[in-house]
Amino acid sequence: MEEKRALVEKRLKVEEREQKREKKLKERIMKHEEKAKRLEEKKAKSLKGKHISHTDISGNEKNFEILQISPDARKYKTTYTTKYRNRKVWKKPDLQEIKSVIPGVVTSFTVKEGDHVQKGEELMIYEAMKMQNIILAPFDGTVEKILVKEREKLAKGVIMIYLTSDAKFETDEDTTSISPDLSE
Amino acid sequence: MSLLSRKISELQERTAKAVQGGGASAIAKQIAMGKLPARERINQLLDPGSFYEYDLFIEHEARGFGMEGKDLAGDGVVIGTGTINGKPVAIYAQDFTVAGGSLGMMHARKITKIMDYALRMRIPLIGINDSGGARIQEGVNSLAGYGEIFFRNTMASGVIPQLSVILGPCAGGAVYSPALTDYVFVVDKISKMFITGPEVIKSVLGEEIDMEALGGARVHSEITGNAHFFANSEAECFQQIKTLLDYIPAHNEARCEKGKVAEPDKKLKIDKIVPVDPTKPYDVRDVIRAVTDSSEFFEVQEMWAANIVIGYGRINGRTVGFVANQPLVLAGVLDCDSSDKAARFIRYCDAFEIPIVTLEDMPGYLPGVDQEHAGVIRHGAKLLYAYSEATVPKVTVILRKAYGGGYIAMNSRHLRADFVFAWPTAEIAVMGPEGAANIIFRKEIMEAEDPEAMRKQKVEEYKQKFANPYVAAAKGYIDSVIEPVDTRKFLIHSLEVSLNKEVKRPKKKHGIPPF
Repeated sequence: MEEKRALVEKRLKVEEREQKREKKLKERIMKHEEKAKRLEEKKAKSLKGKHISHTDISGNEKNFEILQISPDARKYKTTYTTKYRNRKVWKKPDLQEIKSVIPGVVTSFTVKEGDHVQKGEELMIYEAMKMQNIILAPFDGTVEKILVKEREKLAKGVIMIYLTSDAKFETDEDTTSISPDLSE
Repeated sequence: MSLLSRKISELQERTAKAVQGGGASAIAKQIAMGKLPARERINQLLDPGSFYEYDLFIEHEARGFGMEGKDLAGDGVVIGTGTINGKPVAIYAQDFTVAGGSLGMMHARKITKIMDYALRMRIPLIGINDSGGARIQEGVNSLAGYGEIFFRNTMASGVIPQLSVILGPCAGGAVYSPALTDYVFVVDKISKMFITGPEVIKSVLGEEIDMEALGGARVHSEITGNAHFFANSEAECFQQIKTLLDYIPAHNEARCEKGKVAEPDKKLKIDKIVPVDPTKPYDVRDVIRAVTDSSEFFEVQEMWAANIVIGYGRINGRTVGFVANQPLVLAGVLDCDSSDKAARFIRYCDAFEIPIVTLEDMPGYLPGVDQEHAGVIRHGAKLLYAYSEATVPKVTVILRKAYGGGYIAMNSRHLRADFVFAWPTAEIAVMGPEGAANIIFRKEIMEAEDPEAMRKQKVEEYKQKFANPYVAAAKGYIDSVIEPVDTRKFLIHSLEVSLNKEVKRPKKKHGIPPF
């Protein structure tokens, strides 16, 4: 019995020690990360304010921006294109938003707010490219809100109906695809 | 009056009436819009007195809708041949003063006639577009006309240079002809190109936009990439056409004539342009000018996807197509647009036997959801395809960074570059030292007493070992590590020895490039 107890105690001690070591390591990593972050911030700041004298042969001074291609890697001083600056930040789509996939006109609604529909049931008729398109429910759910009116002209990607799903849907609130380093 | 002189005076009368186009008031209107009349455009573009016009007395084919009695001079288009800098060209110019330059059956037949001439005689074709679109009264005949033009554009593609000059509206189906041609010239505030115009967009979508913002010269030069040359005036545009024709051969089996050899500007010190620090930007066009004859460089698509630079210059008197990463813009990354832009240019050079010089300094492909979702895989592959497919002499100079997939794509030995040179500042590796060290030595860095110091040490270690041209040189992937000042010398020699390059390829109808 005593032998067993001694063994258990020994094991406990070992575990404790390991836990301690892990904790230490974690702390160290955290410290390292914090330090790296601070360093990067400092670097980014110092990069921002500086001009590069030998860049432009004709002597024009330019305001440069920073671009990073892979994580923890070099930050390049460069300029952005208008297209790059105006790029859209990707967001996870909320599938409960029934959107117009093509420009057109709302013909009529088959459902009203508060109705419960099953997958495949008709929601509305939407005229686009001279076709009366029947918009069907993509899943079982309740018509939470109708956001457009009949005869209304719509562009592509306009939310027409908000259909709350019976089954829980994952929705992402603020996922941005661009890391803070890049969006500065 | 003799019978002969009466006949001649009849001809003179008919000619005088036909060259009036839509008449004095219509011409005045055209000028008020800031545009030149069709014949004036041709006269300014071609060598003085060199233009010969054909099909002046063509009559239109419109039946019904009150068109029968109408007289449309030359059916709204001027065709002919002439010379530019002494070299023959075929040209057509749509005349907006005649029925808005609308395209009817005979109008199209005139255009296809001059296209056939150009292809048969193997001379460049220049099309000046200024048209309201299809002539609705002629219905399907007008559509047939467009189709015939598009077919010929495709057949002539890669055989003769086809230049489209947009000097007015070019809308709907009509705009596909320029899209099929090699080079599109636009002039600010004059050129308008779109498939569906502002009115259609407004009535269908309720989106209000004016022509300029929808498909003006700037839009196509900066955003869509449909245009290759942007000018502020018609005169500047004509000058660009002349310069371009000076660089490119008349057809795919002709070689560019060897011009006078002139040294580059002594003020451009090639070894002072590129900073050693790989994170510092510079204008790669200065490097190009430091190696070309007289430091001349004629850039194509200057405003679109500026992170890659393409264009023509001469080395030792011969035309060379340049493809160069531009660290000044987006750090010179490859992305959808830049790959697309460079790939098309490479295919042009290959079709017309123009050697390609690639200057490489790029950190990799641009990361981002927008890039991935825009199909950077497919667009990026175009570059690989174009370089691999090209059989013209291909020389690469690696100035600084050559990492990862980008290293392969930028005319590497593996895609059959003939010569690959690298400057001592070159870093040829799978990725940048910082990124690589962080991955390879992750464990060592994490477990170190001072991770930051360890990280620095490992990055330095990696830099010493791999971020240089010698690893690649040791495997023969690059031919020589050269001093920057010797770049022109090496280019001249490598192009000289590959003058009679011949490559045999497997027999095929055509490849399937990632369009």
